[in-house]
Amino acid sequence: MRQLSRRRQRLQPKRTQSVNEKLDTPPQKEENVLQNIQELGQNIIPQQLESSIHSISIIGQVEGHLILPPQNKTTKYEHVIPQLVAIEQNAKIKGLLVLLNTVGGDVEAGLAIAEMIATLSKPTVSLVLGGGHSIGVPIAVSANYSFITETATMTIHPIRLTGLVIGVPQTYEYLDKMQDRVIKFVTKYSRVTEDKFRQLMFCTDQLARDIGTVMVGKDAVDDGLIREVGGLSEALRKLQELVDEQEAGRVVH
Amino acid sequence: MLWTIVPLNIVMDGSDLHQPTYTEIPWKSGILLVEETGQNTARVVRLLSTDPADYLEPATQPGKILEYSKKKPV
Repeated sequence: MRQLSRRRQRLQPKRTQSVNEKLDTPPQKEENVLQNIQELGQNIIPQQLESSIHSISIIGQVEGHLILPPQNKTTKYEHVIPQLVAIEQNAKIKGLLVLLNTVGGDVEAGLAIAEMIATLSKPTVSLVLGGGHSIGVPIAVSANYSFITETATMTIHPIRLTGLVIGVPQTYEYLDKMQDRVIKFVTKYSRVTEDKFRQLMFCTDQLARDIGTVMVGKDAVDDGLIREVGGLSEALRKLQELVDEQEAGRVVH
Repeated sequence: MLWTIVPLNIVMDGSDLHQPTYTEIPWKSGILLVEETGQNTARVVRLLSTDPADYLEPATQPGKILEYSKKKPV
């Protein structure tokens, strides 16, 4: 008790002094107010060191040779491809994170992006968020290491011309060849076998209006398409690991 | 050829109505293809450049709205 009252005594004069100071010097207060107003509307952004990794998001439709109507969100391959060239060439960039939330799109454009990612000499990690359907599948597997979030889905279904009856055998063969290109790529860069991938593609009891398979998170890992279930932190940690491995002189697979 | 889970009629809806007019403007070492969206604003459609570093610039990303001022005729 005694100690407390002593503290109070010590504090009291100080407090009154500071109040007096404020009252005696009103111009300074005004200046402070002005300074405050000048600082309004300015965001204080936390300082960030220059990042050594870059990320590309593959969203909406992968746009190819045809400009899609404006209601589509699109990823333009003519922009992504030179970006990948810049990433390969820039010595400051050590690794690439590919984020996928796509409903599919142009086969040629998708394969072009996938081939570019697969042949990049720098470590790459892909992360499927939300959805990585159709042509999103080869893009997802093209990275050195792939992740899928628990709730993300991947739909594998045959390539075809919607609503058209195939009139000549050549059309069927053309579609079949397109499909083979995709299957070849996916089986080369992931652990899924060709038989398994075809089986998933032509499964008849999964989709109501189509044939194919919808895989949610872990299913894609179990079938060997994606390497691991994980989110952002896992993907970034893995990428850093691969970057460190490459800097130590080991080959990244 | 499209390989997508979205039905083609939804993807292609409005393709007849959308008839944009593109303008080419010089930008650094290349050309920027833009679509005029209003008075003195334009949306970036595509960058044409041989310098790969240009494609990492935030200002050239497709969809970016640019504001510009037209030169007054002398």
